[in-house]
Amino acid sequence: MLKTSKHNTLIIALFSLLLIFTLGCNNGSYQTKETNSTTIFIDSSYKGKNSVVDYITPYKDSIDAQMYQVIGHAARTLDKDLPEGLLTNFISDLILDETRLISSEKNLLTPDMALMNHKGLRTIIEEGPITVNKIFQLMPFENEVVLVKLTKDQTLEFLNYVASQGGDGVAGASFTIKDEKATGIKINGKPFNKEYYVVATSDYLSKGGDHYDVFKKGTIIETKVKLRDMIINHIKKLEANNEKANSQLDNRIKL
Amino acid sequence: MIQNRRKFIKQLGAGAFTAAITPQLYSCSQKEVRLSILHTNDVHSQIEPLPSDHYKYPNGGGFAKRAALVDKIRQENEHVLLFDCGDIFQGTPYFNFYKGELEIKLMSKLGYDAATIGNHEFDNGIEELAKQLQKAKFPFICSNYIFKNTPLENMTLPFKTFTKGPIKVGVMGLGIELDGLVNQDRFGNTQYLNPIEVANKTAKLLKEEKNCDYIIALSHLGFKYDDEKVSDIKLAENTSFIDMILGGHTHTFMSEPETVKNKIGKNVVINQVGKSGIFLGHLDITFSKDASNPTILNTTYHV
Repeated sequence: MLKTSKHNTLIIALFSLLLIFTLGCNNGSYQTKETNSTTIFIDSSYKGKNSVVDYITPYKDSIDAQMYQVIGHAARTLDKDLPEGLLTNFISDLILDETRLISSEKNLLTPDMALMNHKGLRTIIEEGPITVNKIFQLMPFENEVVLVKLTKDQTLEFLNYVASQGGDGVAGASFTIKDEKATGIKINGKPFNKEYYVVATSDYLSKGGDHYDVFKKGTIIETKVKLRDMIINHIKKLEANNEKANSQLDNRIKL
Repeated sequence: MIQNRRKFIKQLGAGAFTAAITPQLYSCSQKEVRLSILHTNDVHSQIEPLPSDHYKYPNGGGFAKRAALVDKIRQENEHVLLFDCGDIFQGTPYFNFYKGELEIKLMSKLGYDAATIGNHEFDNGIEELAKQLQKAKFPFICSNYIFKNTPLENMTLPFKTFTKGPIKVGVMGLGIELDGLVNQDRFGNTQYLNPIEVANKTAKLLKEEKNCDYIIALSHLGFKYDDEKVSDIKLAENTSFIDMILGGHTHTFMSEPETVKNKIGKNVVINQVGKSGIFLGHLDITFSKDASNPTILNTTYHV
């Protein structure tokens, strides 16, 4: 929708539904009836109204300028992989870091982990400049970041589900996949023995999206921050500190 | 009196054929009044046409083309009303960047006569919605949302009447239940009232106290559902005085309107035009009247 669209190949259909009753002129009896349902396709000869095009132009130019604004740089190409990938590690790590900041600001529970499903990231980030448009492509959805409070058993169920899928974008936890289960789990380097854990993720996944049904058993706390905004702001912060977007394959999920 | 003189005639089977935008009127045209109802729904911030590589509707829609089309229809027809049935917002970066300002300003420029509020209008919260609605040069009609003690208080109308020639049209706006669809912090203290109860009361008022000849509901309830949820079909079946329902929410592309019998056996026409402004609905209603009496004798519709 951000591409320049030509108006000369446009088709609009006009449904013209003619609802007509005619009263007889002479004797007052009811005559009728013209009835039809028409679809008119407006073809290439149909131009848009110039004054409206002109009105839109500055908004469009401003959007294009903002969308193609470079907000940061990637140190290398961040792509997707399983059981872990540079892109999912980058995004899940930033969700964890940024949500911890939000939690302390808004006095919410502090997340121990973050989850970003690799299927929810719709493109990769190539080495070099990163534009706002790239982040819109990466995260076209209006998802918001939420916190999900899980019991230890539910947390195990969550990590086992990640394991059963061959891995995903997890931050704050490390484990080895064995027989489609998560084993040797450590949370932020510590033994897996707390009564509750808090996972930062998208509202979409918290509602059981991508079959993360276990989250529906947890307690959801909203941050009201859009995931896309969080990613954009994080990359802008990196740039302001002369840092590049980067991540490591650090064996957080091993096979 | 008007009701007594109103007689609905039997519908013929609908036959679709191509015709000019302007319908041919019969010889006694001086006794007739034609009202042209234009409508959109779920435009979802589609300011520009869809991309040229769109899988189904390449280059479809866009405000500039719609403006030209509406101008043409207004030139060719004396009595035109242009309505939108909600979900004006959300769907392109225009909304992300400008929070709905351009959508509202363009609708004002196109001369929309009224719109109702869809669930996505609340996406940036009710306070932001109120800011955007202030920029509108047309009214938002919401009959079953009560905005008392919200930033939208006194910013919408429960109904509105439009006088076009001798015809008085009553318009209400019906919104979908927000609970479960929109986060509560987005709609704040908005109260949702049962649309069918409100519609019956409002339509009765429009008919009997405001003496409207024709009653239109702008609805964002959705066309129909498999469960008991209130839909346009249910609304039509369970109300008495609504003549036409213009719908939205379910993004239903209808090649012709649906006609449903209402509670007292009269026909109600329901139409919806998909989404993204790819289509513009155009319903022409021709009222015939006794030459000696400006009130309407008969109305019927046929699709």
